[in-house]
Amino acid sequence: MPKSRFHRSLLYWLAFGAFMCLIPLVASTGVVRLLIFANFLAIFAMSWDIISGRTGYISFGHPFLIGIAGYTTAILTRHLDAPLFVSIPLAVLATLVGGTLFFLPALRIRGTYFALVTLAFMELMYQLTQVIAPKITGGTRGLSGLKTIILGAVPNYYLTFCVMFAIAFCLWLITRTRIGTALAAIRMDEEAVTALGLSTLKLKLFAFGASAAVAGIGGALYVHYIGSIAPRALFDINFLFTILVAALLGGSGTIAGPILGAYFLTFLLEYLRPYLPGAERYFIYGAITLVVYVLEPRGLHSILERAYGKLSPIVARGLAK
Amino acid sequence: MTALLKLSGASKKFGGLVAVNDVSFGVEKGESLGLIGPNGAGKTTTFSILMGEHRPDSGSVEFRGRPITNVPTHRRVQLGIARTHQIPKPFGGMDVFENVRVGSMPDSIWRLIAEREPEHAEWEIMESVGFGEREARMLPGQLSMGELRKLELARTLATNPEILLLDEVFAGLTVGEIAQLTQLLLERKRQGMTYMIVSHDLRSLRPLVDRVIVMSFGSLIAEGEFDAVMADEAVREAYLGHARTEERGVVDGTA
Ligand SMILES: Nc1ncnc2c1ncn2[C@@H]1O[C@H](COP(=O)(O)OP(=O)(O)O)[C@@H](O)[C@H]1O
Ligand SMILES: [Mg+2]
Repeated sequence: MPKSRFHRSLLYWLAFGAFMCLIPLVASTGVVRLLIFANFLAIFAMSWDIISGRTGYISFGHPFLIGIAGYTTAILTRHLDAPLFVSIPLAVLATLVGGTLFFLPALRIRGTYFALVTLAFMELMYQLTQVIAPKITGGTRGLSGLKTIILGAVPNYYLTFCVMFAIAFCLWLITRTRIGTALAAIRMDEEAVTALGLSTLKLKLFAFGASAAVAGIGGALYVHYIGSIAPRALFDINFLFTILVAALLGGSGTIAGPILGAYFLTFLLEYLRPYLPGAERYFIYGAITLVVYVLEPRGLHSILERAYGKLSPIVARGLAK
Repeated sequence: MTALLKLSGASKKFGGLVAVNDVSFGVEKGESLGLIGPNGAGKTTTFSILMGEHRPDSGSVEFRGRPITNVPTHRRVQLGIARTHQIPKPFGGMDVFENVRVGSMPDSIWRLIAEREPEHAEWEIMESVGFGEREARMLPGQLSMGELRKLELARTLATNPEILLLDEVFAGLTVGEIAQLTQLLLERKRQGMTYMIVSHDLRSLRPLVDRVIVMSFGSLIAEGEFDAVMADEAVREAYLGHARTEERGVVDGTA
């Protein structure tokens, strides 16, 4: 039984991958460009969810992790003319180190306090990029004219989708093992996990490391896709909440959820743009998130799953006739 | 003969309240030691000190003759000491079987990810506490108090302890469940399990323990065989005095 469920899920992943690979054949360049952003948002939302959705340590500082990666590769390529295949891995490594720093408060504090400390990390990084060595970081204006990996919407779409898909698939394989259960147990009752002989320190360190690595990959690729890094847009509460809402809306504690949420949110924001050009958009998505949350706290993922559960017997019956 | 688990001169204050006051005792391997005393005597706190969940203000804990006072809780569990909680603490979002599985997990990220998970050991434990396929898929929120206690016990047994500290295991259980649990504990005892058992239900405790120690207001006031201790004047005083002030029938087990 579990084996067949595994195979069925595998089939869904393959179907999803194949479907997404066909999209550029029919979609306009505009839609493809939107999907590129959705892929990035999905990477960030998955990264957030590994810490916050699984272990329950709510991070308000993910832009800090993304920023470490972005600035590392931007500075290395810009000032030292490092090739991308060197600068991007180094950026991910730097994010891992930064993620450990990020992790330190979690040894002692939890809940709201942890969230606030991570928020402070983001703010601190913003100030640092302005004050310390603005010549290197570009100060308020950031760095632009960065190398791009490849040109064109469609190649970038395939690149970002493949990276996002690979991350999602790896995370899915990992979290469906007992480690997924152990991380969820931390969210439910950390003391009880300790009382059962597991080092919560080790488990949290793993979750934070995985989250940082994923944020690092996403962050480094992102600056080389848009070709610039702008601190005000990066260390921005709206950016932070977009990540958070994507994960929560889609369904946190899953892999498909944050992806679904990221796609949904990207298109939602885009279609609201003509009517609500300013920051009011964020109210709308706040409201939509609230409604979804009230209807189904486990997010869109769960709503779809249920709809599928209702539909598939009907479809099966239809086919049998 | 050195004790398997030994507490020496342990004290613990909460603010001005001395919850545990210079308590010393040892549990021999294979022994089953009862810990009794009125509400608030410091029994649960004593367990927490043994587990490292509370750091004693003074005193030390030894396991197999080695000091473990500074060993963190999860390491003590790995060494072979485990407890159940007076108030069961199940993982609310996962079913009964998953709860038990967390108890048997190895403390290694790599093994958690890479190892295939044989489930028969968990099923054996599930069955020994009387859980079947139906209960396995239930969420803790759907369980009765008795079932929650059994889950707490099953999860703790899954850590494969050498000594098991049971805090109020019988509270909230039906007569039938108590009988079933007693059988299970006696069976494990025959196989060499060492116990410390806290219980208000003295009648149910009696057949399980070789010896009891009595705490009152944080201090050890008596120690010895069950019947002898029950006849002890200080013990009767501690229980009856308490029963009178709080109007609780905590001595009903001695009748
Ligand atoms: N975490 C705590 N903080 C403050 N006081 C506590 C704490 N835990 C226990 N106490 C107090 O210590 C005393 C002993 O409690 P406890 O060990 O739970 O007793 P018992 O298990 O014998 O009923 C009680 O007076 C209780 O109120
Ligand atoms: Mg107690």
